[in-house]
Amino acid sequence: MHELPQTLVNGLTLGALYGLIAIGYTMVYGIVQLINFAHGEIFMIGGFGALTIYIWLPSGTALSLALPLMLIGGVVASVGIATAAERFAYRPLRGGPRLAPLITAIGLSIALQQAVWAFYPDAKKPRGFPQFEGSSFEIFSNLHIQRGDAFLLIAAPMCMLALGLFVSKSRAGRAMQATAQDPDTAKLMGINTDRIIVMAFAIGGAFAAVAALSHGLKYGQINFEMGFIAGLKAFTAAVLGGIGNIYGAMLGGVVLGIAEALAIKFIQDIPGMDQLGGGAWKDVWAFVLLILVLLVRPQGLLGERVADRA
Amino acid sequence: MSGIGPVEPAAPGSDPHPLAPVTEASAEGPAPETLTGRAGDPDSPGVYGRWAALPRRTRRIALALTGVVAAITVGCYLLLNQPAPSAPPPPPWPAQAVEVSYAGTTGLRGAADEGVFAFRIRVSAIRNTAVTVDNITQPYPALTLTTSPRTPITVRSGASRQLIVRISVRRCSGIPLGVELPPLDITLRNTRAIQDQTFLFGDAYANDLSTALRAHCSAHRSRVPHTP
Amino acid sequence: MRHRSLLIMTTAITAGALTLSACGSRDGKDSSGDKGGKTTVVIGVDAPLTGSLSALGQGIKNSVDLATKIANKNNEVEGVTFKVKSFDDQAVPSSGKQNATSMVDDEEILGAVGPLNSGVAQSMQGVFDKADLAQVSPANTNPALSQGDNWASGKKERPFKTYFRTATTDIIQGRFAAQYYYNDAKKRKVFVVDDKQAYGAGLAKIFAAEFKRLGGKVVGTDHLTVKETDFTGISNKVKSTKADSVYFGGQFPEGGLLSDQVKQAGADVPIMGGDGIYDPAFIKASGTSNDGDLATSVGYPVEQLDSAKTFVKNYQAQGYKDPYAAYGGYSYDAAWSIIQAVKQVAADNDGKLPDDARAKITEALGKVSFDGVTGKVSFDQYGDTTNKQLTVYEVKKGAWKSVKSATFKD
Repeated sequence: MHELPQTLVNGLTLGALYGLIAIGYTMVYGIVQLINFAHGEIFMIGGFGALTIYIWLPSGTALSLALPLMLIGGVVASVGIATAAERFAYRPLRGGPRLAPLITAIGLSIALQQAVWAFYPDAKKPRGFPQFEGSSFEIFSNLHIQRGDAFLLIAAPMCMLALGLFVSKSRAGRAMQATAQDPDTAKLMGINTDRIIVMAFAIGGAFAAVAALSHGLKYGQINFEMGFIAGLKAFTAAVLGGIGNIYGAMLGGVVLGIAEALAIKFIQDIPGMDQLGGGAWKDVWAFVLLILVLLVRPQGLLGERVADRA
Repeated sequence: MSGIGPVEPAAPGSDPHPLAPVTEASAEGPAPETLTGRAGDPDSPGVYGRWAALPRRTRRIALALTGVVAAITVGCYLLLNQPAPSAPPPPPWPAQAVEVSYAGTTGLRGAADEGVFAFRIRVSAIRNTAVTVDNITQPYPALTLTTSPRTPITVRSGASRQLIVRISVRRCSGIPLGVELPPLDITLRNTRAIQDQTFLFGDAYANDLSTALRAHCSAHRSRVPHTP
Repeated sequence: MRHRSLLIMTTAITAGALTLSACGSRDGKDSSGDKGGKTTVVIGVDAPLTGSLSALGQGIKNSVDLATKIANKNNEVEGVTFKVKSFDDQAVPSSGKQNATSMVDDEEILGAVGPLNSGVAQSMQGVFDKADLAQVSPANTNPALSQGDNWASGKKERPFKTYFRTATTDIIQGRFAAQYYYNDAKKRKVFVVDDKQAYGAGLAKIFAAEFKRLGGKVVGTDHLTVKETDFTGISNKVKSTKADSVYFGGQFPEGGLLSDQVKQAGADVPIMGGDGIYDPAFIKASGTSNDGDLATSVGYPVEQLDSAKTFVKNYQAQGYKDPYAAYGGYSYDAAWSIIQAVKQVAADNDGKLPDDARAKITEALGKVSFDGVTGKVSFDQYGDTTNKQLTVYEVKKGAWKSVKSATFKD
C-alpha cells in the first residue's frame, strides 16, 4: 500500500505516453478505416527529428531554450513523414481492396525503421537524448516524480484539451467529425475530404512527435526500434478505449499503463501467484485485461466511432 | 576587352602599364610615383611590376636568398620527419608471460586436522621474460595463506617452478565451503610492469579446498565450541 | 481491362520482390570460382547485421573481412584466395538455422565464424555438425554449447565436434563476477535481473548460485523483456527490497536503461553485468551517471594487449563504416584460426585442398596454435579456447576502466 501512489504515477506516465501515440492510430482509423502500422515509426522519426535539432544547436544551450525548437523539429519530421505516407502510400490505394493499404502500412513500417538504421549517423545503437538536470520532485515521502515525467504529465492533458476543443469547436474539427461519420455525405456537403484526411494524419503525427520528445526526456535515449513495441501497445490502447474515439485512445492508454504498473508490483503479493508477477508477466496481465474488457464490451471502453459504411 | 589594361592609350610619361617593358630610366631605380599604388588600385603596378622595377642585382640577391631558405626548410623537414629507428618491442605484461596451474595437494600428514590445506602450484614463464612472484594472497578473511619458498620468487624465462601454498583456517565461520571458483590473487613483476592478477583453477582445486575445509571444521566443531 | 493490367503488374512486382528477397538474405560478394589458378575458400559469417545488436554484428563481419584481406595480402596460404560471405540472423534462432543450412549448401564455404548469440548457436550446431563444417564463435558464452547440458553436475561431454569458440564461457564469467561482488565490492544483498534470453538467463543463474555459496543473499529476482524501455516497476522493486546491488544478465540496450532507471528510482546501487553490457553504449544510454557500474568481459584489459594495437591500426586503415565493437578481436582470431587450419590442411595435401576439406579443416582446428589479437589462440578438447582470461571493468568518469583481471587454468 505504501508504494501505491508511486506505482499509480508510474502507470499514469507510461499510459499518457501510450495515449498520445494511440491518438494517431485512432484518428486515422476513424476516418479511413486504416490501421496505420507505420505510426510507430512516425513516432520514432519524430524523436530523431527532435534529436537532430538538438545536435544542430550550439552545445551548451539550455534544455528549456532548446525544447520548443526540438518540439518543432520533431513535429516537422513526424508530420512530414505522416503526410507523405498518406499522399504517396495510402491515397492511391483508396477505393481498392481493404487489404492493400494494410500491407503497404506494414511494408512502410519496416522500410522507415531500416532507413533510419542505415542512414541516420550512429543509429545502430541507442542514441542519447538530453534530459532535464536536477533530481526528481518529491511530493510525499513515497512519491517522486522525475522531471521528464513531469513534462509528460503536463503536455499530455494540454494536448488532449487542445484536440478536444479543436474537434468540437472549430470548423475543420467539425468537418473531421462529419467525415468520420459519413464521408460521402460530407463530400456532398462541400467538405474537402482529402484535406480532412491529410489533417488527421498530420495531427496524429504531431501527437506522436510530442510523445517521442517525452519518451526521450523520460528515458534519456531513443533508438530506431522504439516504434515497434510502443506502436503495438498504443494500438492496443486505442482498441481498448474504443477505436475511432480520441478520448477513448487516451483513456485506453492510461488504463493500459496503470494495469502494467500494478501488475509488476502487486500480482505477486496475491497469495498463490508469486511466480506470476513482476516484469516477466506484466504484458500477460495487461493483455488479459484487454481481452476481458473486449469480451464484456467489444466496442471498447468509450465505444467505437467509425464511419457508417452502409 | 583584353582585361590587361586601360582601353585608352595611356598618356606618355604618366603611370606606365605594369607589363610595359622596363625603360632604362627605371633600371637604376624606380620612379617613386610608379610604386605607390595601393592594393586594388587598377593603376598600381602589382607584385610583378614591383619585382620588375627592382634593379637586377637586388633581384639576383633576393632569388639566391629565397633558394637558400627553401633548401634549409626542405632539409629540416626531411631531417625531422625521418622515421625513427623502430624500438625493440617491449616485453609482454607479466600476466601474459606466465602460466599458473594447480598441481594437486601435497598429501602432508595431519595437515587437514591442523586446519591447513597444503597444495602445489606450478608457475611457468612462457615468454622470453623472467617473472617474479611478489606476493600471493586469498580473499577470505577466515583463512590465511603462506607459501614456501617465501615470496618473492623469481622464475627465469622459459623455466617453471613449483611452490607449496598453505592455507590455514582462522575460524570456521565465513569459510568458502562449496564455492566453485575460489581465487588466488598473485602479484607478478617483470621489466614491463608490476601487476595484480587473479588466478582461478578448475574443479579439482575447488573440490580439494572444500574437502579440506569440511574435514577441519567438522572435526574442529566437535572439539571446540562454535565461535561466531 | 483494368483488372488484367493490374493482375499483370501485381504478378510482376511479386515475382520481383521475391527474387530480391532471395538475393537479399545473402549479403556479400559471390565469388566465381578459380581466379587464375587459385582456389577460392569462403569463410561464412553469421551475426545480427541488422537490429538492436547490429553494432556488434557489423564489427564481427568487418573483422573477419579484415582477416581475409590480410591473409590474401600476405599470401598466407599459397594458391588460396579467401573471401567472406555474410549472413544476417538478427539474433533470431530460426534465422540462424536457415543461414546454417545455406552455408552448408554452399560448397565454397569451408568454415564459419559466428554467431553472436548463444541462443542462435543452439539452433545452428546440429546443422553444421551433420556437414562437418567447422564453426568458430567469437562471442558465445553459454557453457552447454561446448560442454554439454550436464556440465553443471560435472559431467562434461562435447556435444558437437565442429563447434569451437574463442570466447570464455559464462561458468567462469558468472562465478568470477560473484567472487568480485562478494569479496572485492563487499556486496551482500543482490537483486538479480535477466532478459529471459539464453545468454542472460544462463549467466544470471550461474552468478546467483555462486553468490549464494559464498554466503550472500539474493533478495529478489525479476525478468525484463528485450526491446522494452520502461523498467520503472523493476527499479521500484529493487528499492523496496533494499538490495545493495543489482546483477543483470543481458545486453547493453536494456542494461543501460535499467541502470539509469534504478538510480532514478532512488536506489543508489551499482549494476553488474557480463560482456553483454560491456559497451560504450551502456554508459551513453542516458544522461544519468553510471559511475560505479561493473561489467566482466572476456580477455585481457585492452590496454595490455600489444597485439591488439596492430589490429586496431589495420582495422582503421580499411575504413569500415562501423567500429569493431566488443568482439572484433575475437572475430579476427576466429577467422585466423580457420585460415591457419586451411593452411595446415593444404600443407598436408601437397598444397591443394582435398575433397573432404571441411572434415579435415574441422580436425585441424583442434590443433591450431598461434599468437592472435587477443593472446594465444588454441582450442581444448571441448572446442573451448585455452586462453581463458577475464577482466572486470568499472565505469569511472563515464568510461570503462579495468579494475581486476583473472586467468583461468583448468
